Amino acid sequence: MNNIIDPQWAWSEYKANDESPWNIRSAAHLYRRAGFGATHQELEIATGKDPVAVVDEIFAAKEPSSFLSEMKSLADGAIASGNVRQLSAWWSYRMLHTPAQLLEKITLFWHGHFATSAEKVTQAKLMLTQNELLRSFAIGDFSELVMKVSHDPAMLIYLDSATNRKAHPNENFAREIMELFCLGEGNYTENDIRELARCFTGWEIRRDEFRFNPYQHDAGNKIIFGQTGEFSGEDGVKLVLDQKATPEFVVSKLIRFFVMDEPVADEALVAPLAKQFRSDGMSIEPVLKRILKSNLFFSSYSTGRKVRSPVELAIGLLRCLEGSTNTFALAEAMQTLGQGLMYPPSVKGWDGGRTWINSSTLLGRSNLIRSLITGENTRFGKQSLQDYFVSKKLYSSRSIIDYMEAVAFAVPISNQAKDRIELLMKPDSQSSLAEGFHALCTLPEFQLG
Amino acid sequence: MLGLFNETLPLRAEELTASHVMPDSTIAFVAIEQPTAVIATLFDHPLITRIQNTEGYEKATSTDDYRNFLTGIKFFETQIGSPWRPAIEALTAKGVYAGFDKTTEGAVLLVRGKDEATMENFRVKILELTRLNGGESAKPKNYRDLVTYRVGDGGAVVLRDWLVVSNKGELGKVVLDRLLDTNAASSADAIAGTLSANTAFGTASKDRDANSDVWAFVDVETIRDAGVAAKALEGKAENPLVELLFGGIQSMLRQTPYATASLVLSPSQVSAKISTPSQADWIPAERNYYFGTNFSGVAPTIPAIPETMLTIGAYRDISQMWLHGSDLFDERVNDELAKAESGLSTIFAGRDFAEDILGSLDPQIAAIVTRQSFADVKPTPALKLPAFALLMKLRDPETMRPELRRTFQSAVGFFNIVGAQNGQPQLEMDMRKETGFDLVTSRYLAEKKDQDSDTASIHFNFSPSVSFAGDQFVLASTETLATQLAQATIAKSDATVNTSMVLNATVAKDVLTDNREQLISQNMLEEGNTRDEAAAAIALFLELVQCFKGAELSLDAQGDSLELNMTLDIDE
Repeated sequence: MNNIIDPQWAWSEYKANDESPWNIRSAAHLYRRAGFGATHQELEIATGKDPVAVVDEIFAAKEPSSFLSEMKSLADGAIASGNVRQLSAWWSYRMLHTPAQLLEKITLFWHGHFATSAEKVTQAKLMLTQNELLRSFAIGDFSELVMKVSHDPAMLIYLDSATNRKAHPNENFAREIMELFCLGEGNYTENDIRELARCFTGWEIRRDEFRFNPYQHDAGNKIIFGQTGEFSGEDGVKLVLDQKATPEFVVSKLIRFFVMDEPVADEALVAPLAKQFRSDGMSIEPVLKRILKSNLFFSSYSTGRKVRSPVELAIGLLRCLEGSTNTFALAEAMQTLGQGLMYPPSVKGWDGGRTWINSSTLLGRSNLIRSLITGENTRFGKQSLQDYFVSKKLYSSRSIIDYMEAVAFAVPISNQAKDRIELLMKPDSQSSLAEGFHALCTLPEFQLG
Repeated sequence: MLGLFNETLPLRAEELTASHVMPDSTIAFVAIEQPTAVIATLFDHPLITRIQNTEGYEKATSTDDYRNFLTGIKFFETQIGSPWRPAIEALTAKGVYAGFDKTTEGAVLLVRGKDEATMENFRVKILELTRLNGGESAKPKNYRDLVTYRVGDGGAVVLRDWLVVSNKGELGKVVLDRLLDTNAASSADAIAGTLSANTAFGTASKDRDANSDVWAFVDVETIRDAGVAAKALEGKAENPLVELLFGGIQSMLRQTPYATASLVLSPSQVSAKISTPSQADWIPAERNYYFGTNFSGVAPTIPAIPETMLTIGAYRDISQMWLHGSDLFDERVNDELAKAESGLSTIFAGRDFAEDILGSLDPQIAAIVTRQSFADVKPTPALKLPAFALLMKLRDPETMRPELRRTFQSAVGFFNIVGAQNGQPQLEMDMRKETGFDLVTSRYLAEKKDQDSDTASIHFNFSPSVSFAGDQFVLASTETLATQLAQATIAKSDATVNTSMVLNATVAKDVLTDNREQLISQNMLEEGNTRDEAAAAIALFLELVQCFKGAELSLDAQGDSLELNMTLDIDE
């Protein structure tokens, strides 16, 4: 594959063609990336529409007030218990059942971007507040999102920035906002960090709320990115956001998350979107829409070119089969595989890509699939897996394999693999079906999303 | 029915009972003398109609699995030519008995039907059914002119009005021989070598409650000698709470020859009793904390408090238990106790925790759990927990009151420091003298913005308090409960039980209903249900809880037996 991609072609709006047709497989690809997957019925409906219109529909999907009320009730239960693990289960439930899949997917993206872990921020209420903040601004104004996150108690506690005093400015947050949130490495100097840290002096968290302590604020002149002024913390954030590198950094991450792990998008590929991002006032929705409507997204550069994260693997499998399960166990299993919701491993979030796969995670993924298939609380369309396939009129193992290939596999399954699975899978026996289905979902092809 | 007969007269075939035919090496025996009555109690119970009218039952019975089950039942009934219930009642009319034999390590099931014709009819129908289902064919064999059906090592046979099933052929033969050989000169000869002749069994049978629907006998001595559960019986406790609950029973089981259990079923109550002979000299010194000397330890009377959900009263000299820790607990627990003792002694200003502090408490201890009302309480916690308290008596109230008051103050201070580090609300203390009692209370202070909240944190269930009334000392999770207990009158009681527990299911149901939303949320997350499904499941659960009025459990060590009595009261 040619790793030099023509940006003009890449970001032009996709139109179905022989090389990249619009069919069930490409619709499944869209729903996997812009959410966590879709059922066969949803995909069939989508293929009857224009793909660009489908993307617009995905963006327009709203959560009805009844759903929002249910989610609030569930979250309140987690807060009442004081148990952050219950919050992880809550979010898993939300991902499984929300009609606004893209919103949850990009909230997950921001959770990895503005990584904050409940290992350190043990108060469930603070973690929930941050999660809701990320959701509110998920496809909104990135500048506002950064500003809000800068004042978020969970973030500042996580970065040991709950106090920042004039005499000893805390450089943690200053470093992370530049390195991890907005600019990336190499786009600032150590002096910029020191001066930006001075801007944030006086920022405190008291009684779980942000407050500004003027007595501890260094109101003197600072020089940041070559600019001089008596910058406040908010001014400092704006200076960072105004840097040329900011839209480039954010867009690169969006491309990596939604389009492809490899190759890394080069400057030329990023530039047009970065420019648009800036000209749209740092609004995320337009640039994300362009990504999801693009030729590049629907091309072989993107299809099957990402390793599924544990969340995508588990939630994706359940969603495409109308599954439901014990979300406590699900959240715990995903954490075992390295992607605990509310528990990113470090301030850098999750590295993703090939790092999801190693000898122990492969075994873990197999165990996760098995526990999902055989779990006593797992149902597919409110029934057993066997009954679900019967209800879809899938009576033979070959028909089940083909069905799954269409809705859940990003790349085709080889005929040899299909033959092997067919031998294992006897649909008239629950245990044999489970064995065969487990073998199907632990194929190397299934690890790609 | 369990072998009361004239020893000198021959035993006729129709007089034979299960214990007459099982070997004397039977170490476990269960008897259901009147299965028809048991079936009637279970299936004609008014509760059945109540359950059948619930939405949950409707949903459960509209599943494919249930329909398949009903189809299976219908098929069975067609094959045997009768509805299942009259068929089972006829088959078991004169009793169902089971036994486990130590010599053959086999189990035997004896079913005595209405009459010989019923059993023969059953035999023919079951054979036909087995053949139709294509099941493993039982091999017919002849034994003493009887057709027996062998399956693996065991088999089944119908003889007169008896069905005999065993998993060990040898055991089956012993039982069959007894059933066939009814020409002994005397009954005494007939029962020699059978369970009826077993001394322990005989003694146990004499004390059997004639009203029991199910009765069981276990030869504990033989089981113990065989090394079964040696670790459980002889080992040291790995958990202080388990020791507190079961320690005395363990000592008893180390010595007792047998145990019996009986179950009595009625429309309004299920009661069970487990009994074993007891002797005071079976209790080692380190376990005197449990029963008191010569079983003199009696549980305290617990005052009646409105909305009480659970009470537990027991005689336990915790000071003595702690001091004998090296005899009672394993190494790990002893290490933990040593660490705890060191810390607690510091909190109690250098006093020895086990001797001075625990030793100042009378061994009669009670715990009480009550439903809290949050009607006029703000902020209201989202998760509404019941209040709980420990009631104790002080041996030397004048000395211990200031000590305990000071320690309580220290504990509140400690909670506040730790709470502040973790961003949790703070406790504010108060002390007051009331008529007849003193109160030291604490309550969590809410932030101004949260003062009217209906979804406050779990902390707002608690207002830790202590009260002192005469020699009574109460440590409670709420000021209200501490006050109620301090003011309550304790009626005199003649009760002699060592341990008692009483659960009020109606109040328990109210507590669960108070937390209905939490239960629904939990169900949604654990089962993956939608809200409607979860609400239906919880509604069914609460409906089922409502079927019960309450439960009681008591351990009585007075007299020459140790008795564990359990009752479950049903709301008809």
